[in-house]
Amino acid sequence: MSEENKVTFGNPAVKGETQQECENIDVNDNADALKELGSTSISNPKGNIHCLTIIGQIEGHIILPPQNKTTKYEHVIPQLVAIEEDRNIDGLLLILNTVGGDVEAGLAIAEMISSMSKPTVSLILGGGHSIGVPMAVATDYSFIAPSATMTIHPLRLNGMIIGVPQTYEYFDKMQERVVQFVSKNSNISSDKFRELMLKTGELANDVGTVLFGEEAVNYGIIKSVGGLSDALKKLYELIELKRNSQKILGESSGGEIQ
Amino acid sequence: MILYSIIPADIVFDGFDSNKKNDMRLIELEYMGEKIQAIPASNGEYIIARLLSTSPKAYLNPALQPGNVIKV
Repeated sequence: MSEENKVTFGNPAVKGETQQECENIDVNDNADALKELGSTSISNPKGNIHCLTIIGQIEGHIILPPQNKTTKYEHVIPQLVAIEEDRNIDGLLLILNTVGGDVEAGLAIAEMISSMSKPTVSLILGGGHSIGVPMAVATDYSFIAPSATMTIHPLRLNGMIIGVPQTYEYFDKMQERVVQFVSKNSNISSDKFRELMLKTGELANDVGTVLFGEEAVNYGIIKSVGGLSDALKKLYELIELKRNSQKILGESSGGEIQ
Repeated sequence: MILYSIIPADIVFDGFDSNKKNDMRLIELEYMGEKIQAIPASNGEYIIARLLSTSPKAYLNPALQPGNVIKV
């Protein structure tokens, strides 16, 4: 009975019912699930995943003018905390299509993702440029679509700074934070990453490198070339692995008690 | 703030200094338990512009589709 009640959200619209009715049905569904299962989410036996989409500019301390499409720090951080805390969520799929943005906000999101205990998989579609690179490598496993690109370039050349000393050393330190994060979380060495950042002859008005899907994998930044189904398969695989290791841990600690 | 982006800073920050009011500024609302960004319309109604949820199921809910006119 409860199985039937909580199947989909889609049916009300197919039947041509109004939005108001749809809302009521949704509320009832949740109430039933809450009463009978103590949960508000519909469970997938392979694990419930949540998906975080990062698009446009990463927006941190300064609200960008409205011509920018942005992903805001204050939206993403609490969502990551909620995903980590919610017992009904087993894993996170991170979809990236970003042109870069605020260094500190980007690094903060990347650090949050890399320190999550739940399995995480990223997929770069379109582009994962600039500060998108540390975010892409922050997950347990990373994919890049064959047509997607990553631009790796130095921080200072098109950087804009507001209210801080504009010294070369400052930019250099900030850049080093990016380099260290990427080399620590992927298979590229910091020297090689710095070399890609400062390469000449690839970009028209800047130094740096544009990596296409396969190349990003060859340099060791991204783990594999793939698409949505590959990313989901990997995520369910990691969830399964985590469940098995917890089971083993649970059994051994149970034995000790007895 | 330091911008690290492939979009040049003068494009990103274009219009940053001008004080013109932007009527298209999105507002954030909680609707049906999900956070959304919406454009205010007349008589207390809003048009959903973007759904800010990480739950894939929320995106299948027809009531939360962008473009829907809602009353809060």
